[in-house]
Amino acid sequence: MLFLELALHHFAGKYESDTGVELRNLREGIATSHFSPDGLRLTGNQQIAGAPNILIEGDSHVEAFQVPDRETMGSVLERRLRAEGRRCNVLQYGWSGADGPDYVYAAPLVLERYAPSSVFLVMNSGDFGSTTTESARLIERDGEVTAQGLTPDSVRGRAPSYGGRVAKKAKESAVFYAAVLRYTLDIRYRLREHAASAQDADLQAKDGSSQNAMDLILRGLKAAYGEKLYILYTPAQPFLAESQAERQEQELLAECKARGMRCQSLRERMVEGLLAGHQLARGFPDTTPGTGHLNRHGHEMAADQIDDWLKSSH
Amino acid sequence: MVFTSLIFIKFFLAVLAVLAICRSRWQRQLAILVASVVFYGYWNAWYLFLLATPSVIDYFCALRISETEVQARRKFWLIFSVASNLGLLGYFKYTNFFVQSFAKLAGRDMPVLHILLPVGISFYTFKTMSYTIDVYRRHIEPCRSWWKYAMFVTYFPELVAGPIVRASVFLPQMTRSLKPSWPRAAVGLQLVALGFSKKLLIADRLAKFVDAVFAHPSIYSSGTIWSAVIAYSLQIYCDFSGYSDIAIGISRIIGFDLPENFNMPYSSTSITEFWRRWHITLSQWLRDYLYIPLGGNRKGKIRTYINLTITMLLGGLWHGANWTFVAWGALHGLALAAHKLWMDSGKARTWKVPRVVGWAMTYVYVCFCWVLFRAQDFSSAMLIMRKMVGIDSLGVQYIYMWLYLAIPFVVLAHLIGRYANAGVEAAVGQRKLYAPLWAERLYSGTSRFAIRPHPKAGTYALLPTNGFVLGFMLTTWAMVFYLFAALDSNPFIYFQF
Repeated sequence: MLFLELALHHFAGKYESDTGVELRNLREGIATSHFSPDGLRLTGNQQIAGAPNILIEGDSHVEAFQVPDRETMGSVLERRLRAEGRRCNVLQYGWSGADGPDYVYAAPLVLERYAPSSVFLVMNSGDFGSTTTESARLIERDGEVTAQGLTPDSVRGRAPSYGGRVAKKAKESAVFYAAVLRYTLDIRYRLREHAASAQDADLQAKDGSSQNAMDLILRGLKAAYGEKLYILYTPAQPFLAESQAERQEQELLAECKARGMRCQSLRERMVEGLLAGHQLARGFPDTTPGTGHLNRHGHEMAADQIDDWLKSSH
Repeated sequence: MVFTSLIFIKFFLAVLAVLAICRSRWQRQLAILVASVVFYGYWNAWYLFLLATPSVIDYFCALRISETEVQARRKFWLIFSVASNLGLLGYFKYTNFFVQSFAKLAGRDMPVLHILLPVGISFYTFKTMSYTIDVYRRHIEPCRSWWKYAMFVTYFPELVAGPIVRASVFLPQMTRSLKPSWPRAAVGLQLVALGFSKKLLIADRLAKFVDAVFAHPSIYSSGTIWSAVIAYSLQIYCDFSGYSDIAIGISRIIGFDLPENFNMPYSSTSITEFWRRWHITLSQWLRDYLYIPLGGNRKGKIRTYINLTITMLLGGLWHGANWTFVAWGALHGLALAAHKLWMDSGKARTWKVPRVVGWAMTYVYVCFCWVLFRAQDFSSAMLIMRKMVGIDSLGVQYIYMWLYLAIPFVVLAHLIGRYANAGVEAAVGQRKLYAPLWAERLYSGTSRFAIRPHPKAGTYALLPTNGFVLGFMLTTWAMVFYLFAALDSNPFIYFQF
């Protein structure tokens, strides 16, 4: 155990203090990430006091444990914008397991706390179905869609790390931290897979259809974020130039267009990156090529897309 | 019921419990027979009828063969047995292959017949065929008890993917008590742990990379394609030898000794040596029941080369009903013939090839052949081979970490295996190999180390059996296994054959 602890020390563990959180990850790729005490993923760039904020919000793709601070989409975008002469800060606020209703629920918090000029919401196929980790649900009343916490103590946005001094110390152990993550994210997930899929089917039936869920989410998002919102859809890695868009992706793009909401897919850039740049947007040296979270190429592609989008919309 | 599944672990623990409760040997034998039937029937109960067919036919044929001295009758029953076995195998495994190949040749469309391929049919067919042939050759006496013979045919640890155990090895062991004992279990568990590690820590991890690259080879660079091919060479080795280790380990716990199936194959310095070390029980089967009946090396040099090629070509076809497997077998057959030609020409003595060159040539050639074995069809195999030789080499560069972690382990295991086997291999000319004396001494309990004492070399189970070091190593292994073993385990590759 001691041998393993020493061997894994540089690759796993979580250090929490008043100044923020440092987290070392070896689950997909190997990277160290830093967070502010309120849960912002740091970009590694110096913040400019008083400059307008651009917020990138999303789930684990924005949380991005898998890539170092300076390779996250926010960091790349921030440097690019500043190089182009724009004085701004790019903030990244993501949390694992977040989905459509969670973003609506978190809107008051992030808008008030960060006062962003634009909000780029990074979404994917998992955001429109029912997930086991969701903390909020959408309610339609008098034609208006709002979000409600699923439990009375539901936290808006990224849940704060909990546990006492002992728990904090335990997380600093590479083996303990890796073992807990292994159980919570792999083993327990698989044990619950059957139950979850049955529950999903049940909820799906209650909801009517995914189309209905998407309708509610988009109405909720529009109401919550208004004109500040841009939706960036990150599809699964396409492996061929002619690979078809996912059903959800097609529906989302069509729905957003019909509602006058700004939405783009990263697909074309991913295909271009694959064929011209020979780069996969997803996958890490220890995972199946092309699967899992966005890697540094994927983050760079997302930053490029947001950069182009901002240029075209100004 | 895959060895690496939870259901199998529960099943095996139940089997051990029943064996411990049983009071006599025949009760234990019966328990093993019932367990084997449950094990195989778990896949599909209809398969049991198929499994019962050779169990009955070959048992009956072997008795008829032994009862008469009239050569024509003996031959008749042998042909009847072989034809029924090959007929069964041919129908279930090759009908669609031949029908579709014929349709392609004739330029016609033929419907694909829905014939379910029973798990392990290639393995148990070869096992039962060898039994009647051995009786015919008077190498063994026929088994007089049907249910003992049925137990041999259905014996679950090696039923679906080998090692291909011959009756001459298995049946004499039926006189053992089969009562679970700690000394046997201690060695058996080491082998099971080794097999699980090979499968879940290496093979299944590498499979993720290999599957992805072979699914879209056109987008990857030459370097990545080479990595994937090397990864596949390690995956198939760890997958198949891992299965064999688990099968041998489980048998060791139950009370049977199965023959080794792998002996550091990637340390071979020639293709001939490779086939002495890779899937040993199949190589020996093909040698004894195909190559030698074809004439072996007794009918001149040219005929020897042809026999080698035919044997390996059919060996390739045995693996799967696809022309890629036939081509894979043919390439190995040609390489064996070329090596034999080289050795026969006398140039091998005058022009000494350094061992490292021989090793590199062998490994690269084997890897090239693996492309045919793994690819979906010829066109993707050709695409991969083009990339391997540097044509159209641009593409995604993907460095897969698990490959570079696995390589040192496999290399180290091969080196330890070669070292441990030194002194054993001198006796290769003889049919039976004995472990070196020091290995026997280690196993006898005078040392802290348990070592695999099997006469067919393979001495790479080197775990200390007691004390603090054992606790330390077991804890570390358990933690590594818990943290890094692949959870979404694939079925063993050889299940499809």
